[in-house]
Amino acid sequence: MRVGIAGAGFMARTHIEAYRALNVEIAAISSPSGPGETIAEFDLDAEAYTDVDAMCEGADLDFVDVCAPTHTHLPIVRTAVESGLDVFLEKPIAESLADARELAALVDDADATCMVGHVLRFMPAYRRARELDIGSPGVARARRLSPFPDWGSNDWFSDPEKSGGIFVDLAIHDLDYLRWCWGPVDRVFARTTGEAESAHGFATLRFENGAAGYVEASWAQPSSRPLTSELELAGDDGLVEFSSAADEPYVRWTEDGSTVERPLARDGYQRELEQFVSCLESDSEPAVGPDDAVESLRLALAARRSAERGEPVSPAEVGR
Amino acid sequence: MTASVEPVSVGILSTAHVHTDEYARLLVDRGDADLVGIADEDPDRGRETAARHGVDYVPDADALLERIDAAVVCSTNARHAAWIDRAADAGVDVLCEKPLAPSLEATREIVERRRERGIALGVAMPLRFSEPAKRAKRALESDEIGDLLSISGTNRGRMPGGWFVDPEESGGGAVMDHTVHIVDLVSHLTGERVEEVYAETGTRFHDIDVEDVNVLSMRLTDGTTFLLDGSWSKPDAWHTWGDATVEFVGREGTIAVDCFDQSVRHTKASGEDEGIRSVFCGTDPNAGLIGDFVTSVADGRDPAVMPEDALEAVAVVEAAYESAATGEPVEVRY
Repeated sequence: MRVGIAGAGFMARTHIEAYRALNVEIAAISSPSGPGETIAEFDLDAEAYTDVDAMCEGADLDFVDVCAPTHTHLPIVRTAVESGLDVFLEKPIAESLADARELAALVDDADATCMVGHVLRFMPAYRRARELDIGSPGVARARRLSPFPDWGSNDWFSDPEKSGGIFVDLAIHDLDYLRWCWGPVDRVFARTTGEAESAHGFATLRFENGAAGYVEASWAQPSSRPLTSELELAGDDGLVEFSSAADEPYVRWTEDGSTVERPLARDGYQRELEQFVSCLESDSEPAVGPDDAVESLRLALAARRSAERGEPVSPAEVGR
Repeated sequence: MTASVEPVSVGILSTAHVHTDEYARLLVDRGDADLVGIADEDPDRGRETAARHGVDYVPDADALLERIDAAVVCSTNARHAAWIDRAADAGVDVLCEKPLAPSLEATREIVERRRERGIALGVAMPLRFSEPAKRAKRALESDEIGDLLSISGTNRGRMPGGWFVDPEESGGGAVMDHTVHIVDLVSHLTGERVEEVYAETGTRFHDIDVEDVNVLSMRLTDGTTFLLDGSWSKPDAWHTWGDATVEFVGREGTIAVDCFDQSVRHTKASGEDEGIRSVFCGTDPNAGLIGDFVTSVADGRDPAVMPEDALEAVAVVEAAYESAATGEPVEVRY
């Protein structure tokens, strides 16, 4: 398998690490500012492009991995599928429902295989939590607290037109995961505070099955606090709890401070990309297709709308 | 503190509440208090509780009231007002379990009557005496994390059963039981009130007549957002009774308080308590609560949490129920 990566930033680096463990050759990387630095950093034998069109045309690829800012997803996917390539696409699928639907239709029309990287579904803790028996669902709690992602090119995360803001970019991880666990959501009520780079939001959820839940997402954390994720699934016959901060399988102290590592033979990114590659090889449906990702975006947009309007919103109302 | 040599005579009025044994033990242990006796609507229950603590069961509550300076009311929520009235008739100061009353109207009446009668009336909000919470209060007061953006709290627990799930006696389920502690603590620490509440409630964990889901989305008067999960969502088999946490996200930092995260893990290999559990080893907030009440009576000063404070928390509870019924955010009326 030969991949061309669109983007050379933080997510591209994460995926390059993951591909090393898989039988995937990184044939090309495209980035508007030039991917040379990333290619050198990982000592890759990849062609460098500054334009995805040229990469799809010039490089010999099996699929494109889109690790570019959210607002650029649609044109990149269009180019890829028009070139007859399959697509792995970072989450969220798009910033707007219109873009997301157009993207899904393009994939469908081209009969391409497209998977959206809702990586929580592949993270061992989240995967295992979903499998454990808690009886009938009661209350779900999911938190994701992080410093502001200041690594985006031209600071695209801080522009809601590009990233979609705190619910569409960050909370969507947990919104997608909870949808996957407990099914569709009937109504959302959300609040936000802070400015773009200190945004903090939470959304309460009522699932169609009657259970309640909430997702909290923060970009307002100080840089000293590493990304913290917490999950609880409480049911009438049990409880599952996880906190990323509580797991400390490898700790190193030195005079300069301490570091915690959580090594895995295969982490969530490897697992999701491996699943996608195996779908291409066996010509089967990937775990998270565009239609599924559209529903998660709809839920995130419902949260954003609720926070704007100060009233509960049904995801079904969004984009209809 | 004045050098009062005489210990404060204290009685317990009703033993319905699960905290009664804890308060009785703390009173017995104190040198500046004398637990004189226990009165109860339920003579058998009262007698058994009194025997456990080696104090008198007094069948006639008025006779007990004549012998005491102060009383701890551990009745059901619905009966708080009647016990407080009876104590006030005898000029006895009161520490009352929370919530002060099951409705805003009933709470207002207690506040008014207490003012008329002139007794001291404290409300059991032990988290104000939690050392991690007190540390957070100092941090917020000295502006360690800048202006607040958002607050996230939990006060989960097991389903308590008994009268707690009888709406006539309790006034409601998890919303009534597990909203006021964190709401009071947040008001106490921030100096702000809850302005608006949206509630997702329901009965999902147990076959009971009251709600066990209590998820509240709130906004404070200064615009800070405030999320609270006070559900009865912890299984009986969980490693401890429940939790009380609150995290403050400010513009220059975050402070996370977990009031009971100082514990040792105990595994019992056999017997009734076989299994694993966490045993709290931090500074006991209940001891702080009882200590404050006893010394306030001795010194003739107000207890830490006044009925006016408790009324604010009950107003939030009432708004939460209104939101759950209407499906809309509700402005809190104080």
